[in-house]
Amino acid sequence: MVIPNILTYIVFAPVVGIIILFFIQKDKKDLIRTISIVFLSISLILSTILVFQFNKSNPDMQFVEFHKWIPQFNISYFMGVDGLSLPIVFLTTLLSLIGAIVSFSVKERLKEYYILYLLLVTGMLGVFVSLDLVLFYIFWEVVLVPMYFLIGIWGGPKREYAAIKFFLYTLFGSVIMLLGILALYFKSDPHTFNMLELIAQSGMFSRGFQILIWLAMFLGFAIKVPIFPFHTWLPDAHVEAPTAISVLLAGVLLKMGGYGFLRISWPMFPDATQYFATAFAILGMINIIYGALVAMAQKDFKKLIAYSSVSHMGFCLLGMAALTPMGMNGAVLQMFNHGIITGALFTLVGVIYDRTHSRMFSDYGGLGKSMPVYFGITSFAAFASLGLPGLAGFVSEFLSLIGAFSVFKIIVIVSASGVIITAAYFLWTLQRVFMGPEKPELKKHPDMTVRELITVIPLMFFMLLFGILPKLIIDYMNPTLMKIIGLVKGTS
Amino acid sequence: MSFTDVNIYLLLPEITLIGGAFVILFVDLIFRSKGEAFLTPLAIITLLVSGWFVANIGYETQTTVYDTFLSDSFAITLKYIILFGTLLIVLLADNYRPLKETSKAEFLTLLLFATSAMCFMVSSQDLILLYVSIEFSSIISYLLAGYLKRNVRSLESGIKYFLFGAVSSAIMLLGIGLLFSTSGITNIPLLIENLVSNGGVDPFILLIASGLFIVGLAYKIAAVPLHLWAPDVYEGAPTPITAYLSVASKAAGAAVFLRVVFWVTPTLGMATLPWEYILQFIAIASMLLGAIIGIMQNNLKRLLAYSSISHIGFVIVGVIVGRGIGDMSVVIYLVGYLFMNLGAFAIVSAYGSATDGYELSDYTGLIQRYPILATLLTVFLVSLAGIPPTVGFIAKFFIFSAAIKGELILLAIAGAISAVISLFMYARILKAMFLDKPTEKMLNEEKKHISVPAWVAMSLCIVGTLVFGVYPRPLVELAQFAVKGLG
Repeated sequence: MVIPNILTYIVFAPVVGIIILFFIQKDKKDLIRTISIVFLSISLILSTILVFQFNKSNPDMQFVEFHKWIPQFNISYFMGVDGLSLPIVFLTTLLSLIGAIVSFSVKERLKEYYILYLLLVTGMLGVFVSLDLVLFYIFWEVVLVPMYFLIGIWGGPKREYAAIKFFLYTLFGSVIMLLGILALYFKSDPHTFNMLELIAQSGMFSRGFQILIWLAMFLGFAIKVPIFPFHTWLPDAHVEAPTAISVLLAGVLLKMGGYGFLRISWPMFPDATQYFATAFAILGMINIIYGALVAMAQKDFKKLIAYSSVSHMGFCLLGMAALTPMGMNGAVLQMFNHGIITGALFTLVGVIYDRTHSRMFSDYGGLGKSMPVYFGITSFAAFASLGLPGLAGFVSEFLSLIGAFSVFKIIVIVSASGVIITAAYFLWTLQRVFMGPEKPELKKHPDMTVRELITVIPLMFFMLLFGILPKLIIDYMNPTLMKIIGLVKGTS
Repeated sequence: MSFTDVNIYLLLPEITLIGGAFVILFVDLIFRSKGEAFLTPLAIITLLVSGWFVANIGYETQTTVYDTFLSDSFAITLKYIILFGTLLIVLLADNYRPLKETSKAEFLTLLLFATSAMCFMVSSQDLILLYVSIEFSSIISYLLAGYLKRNVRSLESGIKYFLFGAVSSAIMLLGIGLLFSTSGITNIPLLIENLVSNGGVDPFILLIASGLFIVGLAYKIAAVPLHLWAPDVYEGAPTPITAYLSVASKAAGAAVFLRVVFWVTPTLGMATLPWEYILQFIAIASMLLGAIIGIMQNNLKRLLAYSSISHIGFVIVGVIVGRGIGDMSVVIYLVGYLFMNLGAFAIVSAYGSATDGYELSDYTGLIQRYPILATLLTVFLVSLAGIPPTVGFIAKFFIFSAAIKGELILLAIAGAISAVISLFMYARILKAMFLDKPTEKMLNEEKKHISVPAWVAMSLCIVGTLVFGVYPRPLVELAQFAVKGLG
């Protein structure tokens, strides 16, 4: 059953939801939630169909849609997925639906919340399927406004600060990126914003030009990943955002940066990529170690997970910089896994936050006794995050490290120690929250509800599945990633 | 030369506007209060008829009145912008409460006269016609700014505007005089040609003359460093007039700027004529200063004044690049700016008319009190900040394209920085509307009524902002059409 224009439906289904929500009265809370769930489910179902219909042996773009938009400037409505974007699209639709269910704990101004939420989802999905730089940029920016409001209105105590910091920081990187995109347009011959054509023309760009534009793009992407030292917006944004938004921030938005590097910077600027490879790997290493060490020092559960995100994204950077098959597959797999795992972790933090309204470890302790299911699931997710073999996190971190080892020996050895630090702070976290003497004021809290279980069990499923059978997902990614490696290294 | 040598058809739009103004005056004189309901519709009809004439002039470049009046596709496009802007202002002013105590007929008459002056401005290719039309529109603007005779703020703004404008015009006249004295020609293209071919003109005089001339133009569009009048005048003037100044006046001024720079470009080879550097300085200073000082404003009208200063900086970037994409980007920006800026002012005007609130604190929790207004204003502010999928993004996109194409990297980066800083300025309004909690008293206030014409104006603007943000092709084609006439 071939569905034409399936990508457009996936991306814009939430927009239909927005239009319908406009006409619903704001006190009909259940109806609002239902409609949002319906349209996000449509996107998820369609993306699942996409997964099943995807041709795994084809490294090129599939399900392509092309319409002229502003022909005078060769700007087109051009969409497609390949092995790089497909897993991330699926991840986005999955986390979006889960986030919407997590959002049931939002009590006030529900209508505005879900309208902004659906707009956010559309923006994220659009980024990963766009094959025209202007279209890509538009979706990239569309994400900013809903994020500002979602953090600023429904967030924690310092939400206004976190929201505007996020907005300004990201916008700055984006605008520099826009200048890079424009420079690319005028240097290309014939002038075009079409990503595939630009990749084909990459041989024409001089090394100096590539380096310049690579740097412009770097700023935009590095802020998103985030790469040290451009990460300072992340702890505030993640901590102050409402739970579901933290899930999407960590699970999807961070991937936008990594995706941008692999989709745009790597194939279009191969010489620059090779030029910066070692520096990039070093930044990855800093991310891993610095993120882990700072996570260790946190007294706030959410902030700990935020810094662990910084740390985990470092593995992606390592794998990407290595430009080896194992490294690249590890990097993209890590993007997917991190989305699943950290998405689960933020959801789980939300569980305890909804009950105690505190994220501080000092307010926790001995929860393992009164909330055994919660204990079990959080341990599961924590083990996945620290890379326990058998769960997904191990495979991606392992592949990234081994894949990079052949190229960057010392950097990898240092980075590997990050794994130990990660294990340390996660185990310590489990101890601080669940073990030890029970605090009497915490005993009254109920264990996980059915709704909360529904939000984490799918994620746990994937953590286990891709831990035992990573081949299932790597088969989708590998052909495209091999092609990208070929484009960067100049071989085919 | 006799009367029959004048091609009256080219002048029909302006004649209609002036005629319509007189009709309104007479209707008021003869019918007094019975005719009052007809005044706004008359004004709208005048504008529509004028627009119809503009559409039917014919797109070939033609001149008349001793070659002073130029009608080309660029002039036509700008007239569309000015007329449409005025139409929206007429809608806004219809029920604007502070204006109700004054004479509506005189107000509309003055407005239409000013619009005709601006139409003359964009069609002039002669120094004298240019100066006269700039003066004409300025003087009427002074009157309109100070129109609320019993309001101290309004009077102050009128006088300030007048003083500043008078001095700037005098300086400009001095520059014009110098230019005339070196060549004896007032027709601008001929003048330039003369300068280029003769070459023997003292470059120092040219430098002074052009500098003085730019002063006048920069004052008109409120570009740094001649922007100092704008915040005070914008704040004091009746809000529909503020909107009019910020859009129509700027569009006309920017058009003149573009034309003049276009004509002057051949002289750039003369080394001591640093037009480019002066203009680049003006552009960067406007973009940055407008954003930075705008952050500190608590009055919506002043904030939007600084925002306009910032935006005109972007327009000047396009003017500097010129030639094809530069000029195109200016036209696209002016159209987009019309929609988003007028939209924002429409809300400020309607809300201000209903509640007398113009400060940020008056907008606290607007999303809960007047949700539709707050949502519309959000879209306009997001567009002003240049974030997709709005026309504001398209406008900035093309200006940035022009800057990159023209290899003016410094301008591009200044624009990028300005965009980020100005976002903070607009976000303060968003914060007040969405994030700040209103007091119980504010929440329980009775909802005031917003007039229907104001809603119409806002709707037209929101449609323009969103539709052209998602489907900008008509704008691009309009811009291409406009630029064709420049040759």
